[in-house]
Amino acid sequence: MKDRRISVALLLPSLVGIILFLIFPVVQLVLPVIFGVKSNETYFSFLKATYNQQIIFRTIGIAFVTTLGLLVLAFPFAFWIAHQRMKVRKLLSLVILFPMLTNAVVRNFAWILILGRNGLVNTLLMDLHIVHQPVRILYTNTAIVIGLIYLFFPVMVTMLIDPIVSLDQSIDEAAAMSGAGPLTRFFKITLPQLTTSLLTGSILVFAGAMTAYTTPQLLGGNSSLVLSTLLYQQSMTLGDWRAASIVALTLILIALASLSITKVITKRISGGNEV
Amino acid sequence: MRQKKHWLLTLYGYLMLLLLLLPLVLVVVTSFGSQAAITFPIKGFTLKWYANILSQPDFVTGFKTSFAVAVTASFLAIVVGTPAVYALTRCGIHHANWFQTVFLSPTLIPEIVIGFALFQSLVIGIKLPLMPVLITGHFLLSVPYVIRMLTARLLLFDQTIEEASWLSGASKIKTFFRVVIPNISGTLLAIFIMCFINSFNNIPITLFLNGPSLTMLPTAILNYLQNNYDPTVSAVSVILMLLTGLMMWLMERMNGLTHVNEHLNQKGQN
Amino acid sequence: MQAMQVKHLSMSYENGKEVLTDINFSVNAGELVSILGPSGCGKTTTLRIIAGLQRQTSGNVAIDEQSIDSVPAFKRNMSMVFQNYALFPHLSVFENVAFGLKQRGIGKTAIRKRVAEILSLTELTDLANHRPHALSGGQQQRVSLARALVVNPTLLLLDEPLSNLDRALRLSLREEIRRLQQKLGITALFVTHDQEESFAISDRVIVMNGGHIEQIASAQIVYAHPATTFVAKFIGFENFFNVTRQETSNEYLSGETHLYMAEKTTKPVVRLCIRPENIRLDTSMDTDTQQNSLNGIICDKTYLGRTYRYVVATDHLGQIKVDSEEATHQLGDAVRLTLPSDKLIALAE
Repeated sequence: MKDRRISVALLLPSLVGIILFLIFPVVQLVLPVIFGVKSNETYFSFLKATYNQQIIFRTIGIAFVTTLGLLVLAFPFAFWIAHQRMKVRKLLSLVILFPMLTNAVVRNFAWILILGRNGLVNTLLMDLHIVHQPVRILYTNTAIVIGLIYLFFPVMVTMLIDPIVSLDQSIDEAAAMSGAGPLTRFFKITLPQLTTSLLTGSILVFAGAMTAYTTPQLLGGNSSLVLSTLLYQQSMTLGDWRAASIVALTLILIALASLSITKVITKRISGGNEV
Repeated sequence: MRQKKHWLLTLYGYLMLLLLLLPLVLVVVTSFGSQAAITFPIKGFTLKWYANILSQPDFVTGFKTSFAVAVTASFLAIVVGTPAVYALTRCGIHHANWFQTVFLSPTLIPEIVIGFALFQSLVIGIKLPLMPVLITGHFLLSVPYVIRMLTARLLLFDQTIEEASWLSGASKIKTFFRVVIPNISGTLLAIFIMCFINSFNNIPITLFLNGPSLTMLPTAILNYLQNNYDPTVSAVSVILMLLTGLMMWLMERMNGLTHVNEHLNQKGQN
Repeated sequence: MQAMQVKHLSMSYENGKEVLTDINFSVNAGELVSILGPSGCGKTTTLRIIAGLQRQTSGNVAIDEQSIDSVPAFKRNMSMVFQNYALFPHLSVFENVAFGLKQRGIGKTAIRKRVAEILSLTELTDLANHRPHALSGGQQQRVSLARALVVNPTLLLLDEPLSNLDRALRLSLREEIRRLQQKLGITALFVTHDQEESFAISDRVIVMNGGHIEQIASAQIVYAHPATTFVAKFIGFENFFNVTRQETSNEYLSGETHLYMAEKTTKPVVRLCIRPENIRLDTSMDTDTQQNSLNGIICDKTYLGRTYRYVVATDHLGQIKVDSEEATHQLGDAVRLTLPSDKLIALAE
């Protein structure tokens, strides 16, 4: 029983730290929204406002397109890396890790340079006489999507490399021996084995895109507000803490929902494999 | 058929690699352009934007503060988190999963919400000064890294080695410091660096917890970008990339990078 | 003199699963006792409780008649050789061996002298500055042994120390352990699942099964006179016959077959058993009813290297396994089996 007391003593500092400084503040933030005076009314009136609805739909839309784009772009890339020799694969992993560990401001600034009014894309388009006036790309939803894809591309790729590498080659060979062509094998054998990774990766990226702040702030600005930038604007610029709390609650719900969906998926699929 | 598919895939691989690195290369290139407005192609060659960084007090003090906060928060997280991980992996705790979830909860709640919540209840609510709250926020960010990376390491560390030490006459505490710590020191350093990078780069939490008296580098750059569009930002970015490179090199030397990828996956990045 | 006693040791997990039931035994000073049993029989748990690495539910462990249950592992002055060596990866061979002495607050020069002694005894002197990962498995286990011996432990515990090594190494290291243990007069408890290993190395053998002790005796006695059906099966008896005793007390009846034992016994007997290599196999179809003889037909034949394993189907005693160097018998042959009365063992349970 002495051992138990020691282990409690070892756990206590971090436990208290997290409960006191994370869980308690967050609960304090969302409770008034859920149980406060006329809380339902304010919450629904917030949702009913066309302006807010627009932002919610924009946020969901951007996250959705980002996730789809990442699936299409990252999967073949991960496939390519996974089929390299061990040494090359390690080197490429480092190359991917570099942007991942680089400050998000830097990464988004790079896209301002590319997409801006006098940016690389506009300069090229005008030099080639495709357009005569700079096209507005920066501060649009498209810019946010591009920025988010760039932001999450390395994340998605690293999530996929290991599962692809650990695919059992002999299963594919067995399918080939049974007469399945390359395309059939890819869609009927390889892809189904990667469903879990693709799904969990997508959900993670979707949740990340829904809650990201820096990218929509820098590439979307005030003309393309999303929930996270709205949260900051409401609280720090406009001082409407009630609205900010509502946005915060919405963001928490999104995060928790994606977490539970991921858990259900991994449980169901790994459970299915065992049977 | 197989050959052709392979060829296409290779082309695609190199193309994506290029797209991944090109934006960062562009930042480096623009930092040397002599014109105040960034245009393509750049004209001239100068290092004055690097000099200009030093004349921006926000960048200089921001760097110092960010550095200090990151070091403090990472250190705290390791000091507080390591005993917890030890208890979770060694003491046969009931409901270990439950504790694990609590320790990882900072990754479950969007960072921007954490920032807002800390600001509201600690800064406005109980009137704590900004600095300790900022460090608390960054500490919260770091705890999950400690928990994940150290749990993985300790699960790999053969417990019979500790038992051999106990039987050799070293108490549990002595064993922890003379046998366990020397063997996981590389991982601890890698964890420290990961926490440091993550804290140093953080924006969503920092955003709520800085102020006129407390400047942090990433938010200082963010503010600068709102009003200016000159190569100074490129120059700062290059410095930050060099810092990232240095950290990666350090971690690679600790042999810790192989683990890092897996742990980064768990977390969305802002 | 009894160096260590284990009295009424029981251990169960919180979910109620009992892993040890009333374990009693002792180890005499200078003796090497081995605990033999299949995996999951509780032998390692017993060892870990003695070492203080695990806590028993009831009963106690005593050294020189003094209970040590409240003494933590690091103060018990025991040492242990682990199956996976458990060397300190960050320390050299020398430092590994010196570790225990350092904890005991021994001076530097004394440590150097003592470690050098042990390293030369275990033929590790040349490797003193190597790190464990640079050593082979056999070398690592020798370092582990040196580390365990250097502190002059009251009790040396060995937990399957040879299981991770290949056969040749296992044999030579086994002899080395025995040699050092006897030379240094160390009291030792050796856990293994390997019958040959346990017989070769120990003064006495404790056979465990399902959390309790089946038999404690010298290797010779365990080999010749297993106390229980489990022990008999574990050490190579393969033919078992349920019997009832006839009045003459050395005549037994299994179904309709009469079996005679050479020696008389007074204990209750439920089963007789015999090793496959002790049964005689003949082609001659003698019809005269010799004692303990019966007819059968060969239904399986396997080449085992030194011998052939025949499975013989008999009318009344079922299938009997026989090992014979004779290669001439073929499947379907009618043969005559003789079960020598002095090779039959009576089992009470």
